[in-house]
Amino acid sequence: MSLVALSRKKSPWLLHFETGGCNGCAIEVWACLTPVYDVERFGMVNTGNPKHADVLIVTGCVNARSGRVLRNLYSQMPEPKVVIAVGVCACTGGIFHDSYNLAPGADRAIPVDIYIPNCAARPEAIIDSVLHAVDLLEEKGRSYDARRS
Amino acid sequence: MFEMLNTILKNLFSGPVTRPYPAQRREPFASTRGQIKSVIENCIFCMRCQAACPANCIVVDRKEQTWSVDPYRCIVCGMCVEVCPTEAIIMNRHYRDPVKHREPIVKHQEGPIPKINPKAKGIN
Amino acid sequence: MIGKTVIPFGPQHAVFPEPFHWRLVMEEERVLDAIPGIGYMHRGIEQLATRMEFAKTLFLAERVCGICSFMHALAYAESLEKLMDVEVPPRAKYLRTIWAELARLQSHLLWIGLAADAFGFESLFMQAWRVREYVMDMVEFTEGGRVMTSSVTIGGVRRDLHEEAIEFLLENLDKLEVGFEEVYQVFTEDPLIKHRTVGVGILSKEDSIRLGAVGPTLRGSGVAQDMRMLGYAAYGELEFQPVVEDSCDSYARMVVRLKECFQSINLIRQAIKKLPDGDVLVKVRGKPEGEVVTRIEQPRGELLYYIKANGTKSLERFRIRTPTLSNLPPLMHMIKGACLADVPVITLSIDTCIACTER
Repeated sequence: MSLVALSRKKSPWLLHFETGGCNGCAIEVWACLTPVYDVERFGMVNTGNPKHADVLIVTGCVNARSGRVLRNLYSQMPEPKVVIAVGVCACTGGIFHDSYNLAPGADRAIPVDIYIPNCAARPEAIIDSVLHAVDLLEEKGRSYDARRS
Repeated sequence: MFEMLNTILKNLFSGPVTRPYPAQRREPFASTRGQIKSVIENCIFCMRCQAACPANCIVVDRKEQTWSVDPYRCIVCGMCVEVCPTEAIIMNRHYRDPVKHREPIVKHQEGPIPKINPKAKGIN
Repeated sequence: MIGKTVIPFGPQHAVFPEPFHWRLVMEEERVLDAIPGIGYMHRGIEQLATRMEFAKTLFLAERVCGICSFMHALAYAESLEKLMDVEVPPRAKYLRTIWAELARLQSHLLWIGLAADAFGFESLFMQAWRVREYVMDMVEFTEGGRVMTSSVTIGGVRRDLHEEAIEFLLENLDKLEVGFEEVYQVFTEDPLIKHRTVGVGILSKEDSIRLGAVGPTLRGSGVAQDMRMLGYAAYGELEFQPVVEDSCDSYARMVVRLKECFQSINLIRQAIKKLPDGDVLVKVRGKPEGEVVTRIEQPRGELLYYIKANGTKSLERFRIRTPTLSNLPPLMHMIKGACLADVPVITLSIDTCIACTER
């Protein structure tokens, strides 16, 4: 395993973007970063810069305006990358699915790899999905390296 | 100075507050709303859950005898459990696992619809 | 001398969990003007409410904001109870008070953490959120969900507190008080925090009234206004006084919130002591008709609900005025003339909640 692949697996960096739900899931993502749930045990660091990030965490329902920002952030992230949709709003729109200005789910704007249901998503579920994301990142990294060489 | 010593000693001898989550799972509280489960044998297809759901995630088909829920739209409010007259929907306290592909859950009932007398329990 | 520079601030920013956009017009280090850009979180809730049944709108109202979800559900339930002439049982009123204070505690602790993060005080951020987990445990144990509690309904509450839950509450309140005392000491004694907040973002008493500030922003400027004094839920039967500070800066607003945490702990203890027996839910029949305005004290300030119903199953008009909307004009007044480095601190000092404001 190359050094790059190893570091990708050992320390994936997170980028969190709230596209416009009720903040409930965003708070649970923050709760994961703080002592009681602490995803930093797995080498994960919350970063504000998309160019450093490996995992994009999307919370909330996507409307036209925030979808533009979301696509922008996604395209700035380096390959390989994993997207996690947290909460029912990011999965399908949840209770707001009928609203006039919302896309039903974040997967209409960008490709989503992992979906977390529940309103609001529990921190335990977020930790689970982030651990899944590490495996997925390794898998994607291997195919990305194979494509490049 | 002594205040600082106090803090240092406290931090040295107290354990971490972090819950070692994947290694050691904490039992959820008894009242936690985790996910809804259908006990399809009890279902009398009265459609009350479909009418009460704020997110319109439950679809009941009386003709085909199917009950389906889109778990990726369910907001876990517990209204369907509250209005169900025959305890055909129960609330489980374990949260739903994250997935890679989302699919609705469809339950099909075999045989004739059971004749359970619905108690007047619903709100509407 | 350099000319004016426009610096974009947000929508994706490490300090704020929400997308909020400022265009800051700068001259050297001073902010001349701040132009807010909004619309990232609009969900069309008010329009959606006119298409949904009024009983389901409760869950919609709860999802206006994830931080103060309980307060929105409470305001909606109180307004419909006024419209439909429902008398809520006394036990339900006390339970609502207990849960509202728990919601206030978790919101304030969350804000304290974010504020510490804005100063660059990372360990204090962690400590505040560690203490907050006691509150989250209490919320989950008694209401069934960590964020979305769904415990209020029209005509009462959906859950009752049993003996075990009350013991759990009292036990955790003691732990919380000990933990919070440590955080409080750091906030009031640490010279670095004082350096970042004292004298930053001055809002005089006259300006705060003229610009229509509400909640801790108003109380930090020396005006004793608290919607809980109106006596909704069981607040009329409990003893408390609004927390007021006179120094009119970010520090005063911070101290108001810190002291309100102690006040909330005290109010929960009082409510548990006085908790009456009896039912928690009355059956509600019929459909609402008429207009009503309800005012509720949210953690961020005064929340105003206007509901117009016409006797059909959905509402005719549903309007929410949130505290952050009222606090935006004072914020724009404070930001003008500030240093760029102070902008996150000043923005956080009114405790912005964009999810509420844009709905």
